[in-house]
Amino acid sequence: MKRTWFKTLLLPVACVLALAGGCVYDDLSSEMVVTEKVCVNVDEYRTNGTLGSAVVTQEFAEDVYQILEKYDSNIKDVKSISVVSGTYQVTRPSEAKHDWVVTSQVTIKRQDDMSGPVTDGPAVFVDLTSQSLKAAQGKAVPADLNSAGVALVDRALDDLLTGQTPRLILTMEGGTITPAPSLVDPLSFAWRACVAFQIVIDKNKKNGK
Amino acid sequence: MGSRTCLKNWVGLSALILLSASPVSAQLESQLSSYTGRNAPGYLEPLVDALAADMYAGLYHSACIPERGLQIGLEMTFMSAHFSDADRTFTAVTENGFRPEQSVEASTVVGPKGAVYVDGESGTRFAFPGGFDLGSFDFAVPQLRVGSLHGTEALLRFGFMYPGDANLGDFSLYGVGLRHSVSQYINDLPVDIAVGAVWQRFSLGNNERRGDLVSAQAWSVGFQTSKRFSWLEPYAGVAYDDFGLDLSYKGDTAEDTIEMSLDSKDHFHATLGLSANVSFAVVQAEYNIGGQNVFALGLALEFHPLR
Repeated sequence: MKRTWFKTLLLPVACVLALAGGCVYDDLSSEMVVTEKVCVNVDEYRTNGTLGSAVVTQEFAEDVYQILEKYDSNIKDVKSISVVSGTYQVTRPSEAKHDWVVTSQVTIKRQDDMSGPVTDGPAVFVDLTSQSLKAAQGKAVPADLNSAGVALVDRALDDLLTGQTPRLILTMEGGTITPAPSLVDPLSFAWRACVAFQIVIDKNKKNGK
Repeated sequence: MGSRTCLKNWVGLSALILLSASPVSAQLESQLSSYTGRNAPGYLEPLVDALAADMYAGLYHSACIPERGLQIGLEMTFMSAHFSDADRTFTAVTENGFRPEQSVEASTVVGPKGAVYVDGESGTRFAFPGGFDLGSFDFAVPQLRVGSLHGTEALLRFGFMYPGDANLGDFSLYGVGLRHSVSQYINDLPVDIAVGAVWQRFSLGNNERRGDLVSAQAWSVGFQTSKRFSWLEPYAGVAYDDFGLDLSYKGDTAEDTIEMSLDSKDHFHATLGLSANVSFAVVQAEYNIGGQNVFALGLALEFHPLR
């Protein structure tokens, strides 16, 4: 008798609760934003007033694929990728007691095939104007991004979504250093430049929802 | 044997309901990871308030506590906190060195699914993550009520651990409470009165250090009254609540784990309910009025082994 009572009461409640749970939490996907930073590290040693050139090759595609794998997604789930900001910071300061001021530019170009032609750019990506190295020591300083360089990166990221594997080359163009380093007062420091970009992932996109 | 079968069915049903909340934890961490901290409290606030309100529902269905005699109640309560339009967005601020800094109305965790974009200097663009487009935050919790000694009974809310895979994370909720009859000390009182306190802990998800993504503790101290009319028993109560939530997650661009504590701004709630006593079963329906209103439905099976 008691078991019959129990079943009579439990069955409708179980159905209501199960249906409620299923309805409320059905289709829980939403547009996810993943922010990622791509950084390059450069060591400098200068004995004159001219900053040397430094070239760094960046395989964006590899980074993006790793991020998508981490979030159990693939390139078809990506709704957009865009550049958010740029920063730089001194990671190993100069041993000199005085400050140094640097003026330079970082340019960017696209060369998907190492032995092939440059297919986009070069364009100015970052402007460093009278940047105090002490002010950039240990903390990321927002960089002045140049719209031509950002547009080049955006084009490369758009092509990534269509299955291409863009390869970008960043070049620190020779700039000026004040005061001018010398053999007795050399400038030796390390710095890191980073570009933050965001990937918007929509898992319903490939399902056509 | 009958009791063991009841318990087994009860546990199975509870697990079914609790598991339905697991996908929330998986995506919640992903959504939060794009925020370095300053936007996370606003993004999560509606869920924090709803979780707090849900946890205070269904704690009793009567203020009548016998002076003595063993009684055991196996209960299941289903809580539902509904979200308003105001809960769906919050004022978010761009992060990660995006220039110029801008404020925009973006989705909260319960808001629209679409990302919100703002354009910045030199062709840059910032995206705020979407929400889960939830109309309500619902869950069910089983509990065990044991009494009575000197008009005092204990409440245990069961802990439920789901050994999910890395994507889902775990979900657990447990709590203990005590209630004491006040009406036993007052002769000829027309209603039953009781006071009680409950402590609960809730955790959701795994962060990258295998700790809890979300862990919350809730205290509630209150007083209740009820009056039995044949098989029906209306009841009411007021309570002071304290809810704190700790959040620990790895941001996309932060070098260290982001940890923060969020407290519910709501500290009082009132309860109005009606329970129906049929043989050894009690069915209850109640509405909790506070910062976030919660509707609760419950079913209790009461046993008196020594009677």
